[in-house]
Amino acid sequence: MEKNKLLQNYKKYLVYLPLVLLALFFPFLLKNFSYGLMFLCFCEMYIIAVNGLDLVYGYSGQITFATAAFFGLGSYGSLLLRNHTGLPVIVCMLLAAVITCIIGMILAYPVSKLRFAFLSLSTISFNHVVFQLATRSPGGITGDYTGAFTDSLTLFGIDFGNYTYFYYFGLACVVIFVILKFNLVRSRVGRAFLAIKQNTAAADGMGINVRKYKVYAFGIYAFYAAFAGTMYAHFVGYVSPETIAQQQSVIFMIMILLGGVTSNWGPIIGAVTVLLLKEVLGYAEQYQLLAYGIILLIFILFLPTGLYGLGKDLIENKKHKKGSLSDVRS
Amino acid sequence: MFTQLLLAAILSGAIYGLIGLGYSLIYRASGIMNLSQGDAMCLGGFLGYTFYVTLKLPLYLAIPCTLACTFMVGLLLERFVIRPIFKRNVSTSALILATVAVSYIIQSVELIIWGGAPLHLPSFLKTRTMMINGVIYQTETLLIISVALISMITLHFFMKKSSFGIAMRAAAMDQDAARSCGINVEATTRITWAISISLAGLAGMLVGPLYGVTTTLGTAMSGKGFASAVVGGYGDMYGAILGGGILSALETFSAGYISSYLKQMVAYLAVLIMLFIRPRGVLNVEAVKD
Repeated sequence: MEKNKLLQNYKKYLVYLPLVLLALFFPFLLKNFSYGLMFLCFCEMYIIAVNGLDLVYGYSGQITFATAAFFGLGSYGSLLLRNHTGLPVIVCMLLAAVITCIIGMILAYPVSKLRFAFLSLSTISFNHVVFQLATRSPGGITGDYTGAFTDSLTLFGIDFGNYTYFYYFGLACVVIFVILKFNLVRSRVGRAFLAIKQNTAAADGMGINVRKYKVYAFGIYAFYAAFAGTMYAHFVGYVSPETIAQQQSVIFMIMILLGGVTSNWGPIIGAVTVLLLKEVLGYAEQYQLLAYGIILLIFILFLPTGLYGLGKDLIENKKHKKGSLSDVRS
Repeated sequence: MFTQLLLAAILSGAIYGLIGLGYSLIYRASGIMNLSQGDAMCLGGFLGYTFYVTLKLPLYLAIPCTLACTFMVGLLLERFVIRPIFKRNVSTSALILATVAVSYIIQSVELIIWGGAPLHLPSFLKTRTMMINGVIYQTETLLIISVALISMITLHFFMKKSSFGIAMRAAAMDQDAARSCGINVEATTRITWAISISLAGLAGMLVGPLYGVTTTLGTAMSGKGFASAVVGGYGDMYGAILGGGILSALETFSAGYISSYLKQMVAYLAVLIMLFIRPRGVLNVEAVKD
């Protein structure tokens, strides 16, 4: 019985293997198209951040508009640490992510007692405060509106400024973060998140410390977003306040909604689709906003499970075609 | 200096109050935040520009026309966006996101119709300044404050005295009980949305000559609106007005006496501090706590 379970788990992981192999070969496929490779590097960062957002929005049902703030705190934190202390870049990245995680937990502690609609207001406010701090920092340490420069990532003597190398580094990070999330949501903590989402009062009654788990969710989410931010800082080598703008936070929400919540594939699909859309619509800003608004409405109204849910439904419908209608429904 | 600052504070307080009122009314009626409130304000500004400048209507006609148009927008918004989503039983967070989507759609429509450049409404009055007790006042400011105050007082009497206003308050208190008393809760909710949006539209028309209207103003004003609602006590009509006053006083005096760069942050800091320390706001409204 035990062995069977283990085998099943391996089978679950095996499904991902061809995809990971394909991902490994992308740099060879895109050898003469470095822009495409750069795009994939950005996708990796956003996938990590959106995975963190999925834990808060998808699993624990808390709305947040501060993803860009945590992303920015990570990138600015890592940049400042690197420029002022000269520690190795990877240490700065981890330190910045941990500090942001603590900030996220501190923010979540008082906020988690509020009715959750008010979470949106406090996260919006937090995002604006961080944005204002970045644009007019004390002593101008963040470079204010012009932004600031930093070094690229160097690990074991390899310079990851190169797109191909950074792509592999990012891929490793994505795999690690996705596996961490995969295990987390199947643990006691993940089940507590889901219980809070479905019925806070009932979760409380079952002995789940709602406040504690909300703070956990926020901390983990801040860590994910901040780590993505640090990757951004050391990949681009330059950070400007635009990365913290309120609209960025909404774009993260669009990614998670479009991809589909509470799944492993949702964040990946969502991040890649929205970034592609951004590339296509990049030149017409007013239509970009219109597209975002309409996409949000369509997904909220008609496809609350996102593209991933849609695909899953289609496949399952095909499987059950011979069965009765109730089969399909369930 | 002090009188000038005080007048400026009352002016922006009145504007914030008008937007904050919308937040509170909608929260009472539907239990969500309408984050497109600031964009509704901009829409009012643009419509006001169209009626007052492009169509050259006199002011006493331009304001009612703007109000009517934004009222219609509110009705349509509730009917075709918010109600269908409510019917699908989605989570509150998805509803709040839907209002963000509405805000984006309004912004892009404004960009497509009126363009991205700021539009300045011409001054409403011919005489620009007047002197009372040796202090120079801008007549514009006085006019805007009085229009805002008149609309707030009208709203007060509508909610307290008219039967429809009482029905609206009843529906906001307890939907099921109101329904069993024969109140058409759907209608009251829809009218609440329409009134909230049109109040924001009025605010947009009024700030037109002062700040000018741009599409980007909406996000900032959304922030000021919910900040004043939070400071005063979320869900309370008078709380929103009071909160608007307190917030703009904080903003104006900190900008005047400490540093102008604080002004951008004050509203958001106020929200964070109030939600952390005193979520019930100044008026002690029991709406925020879980």
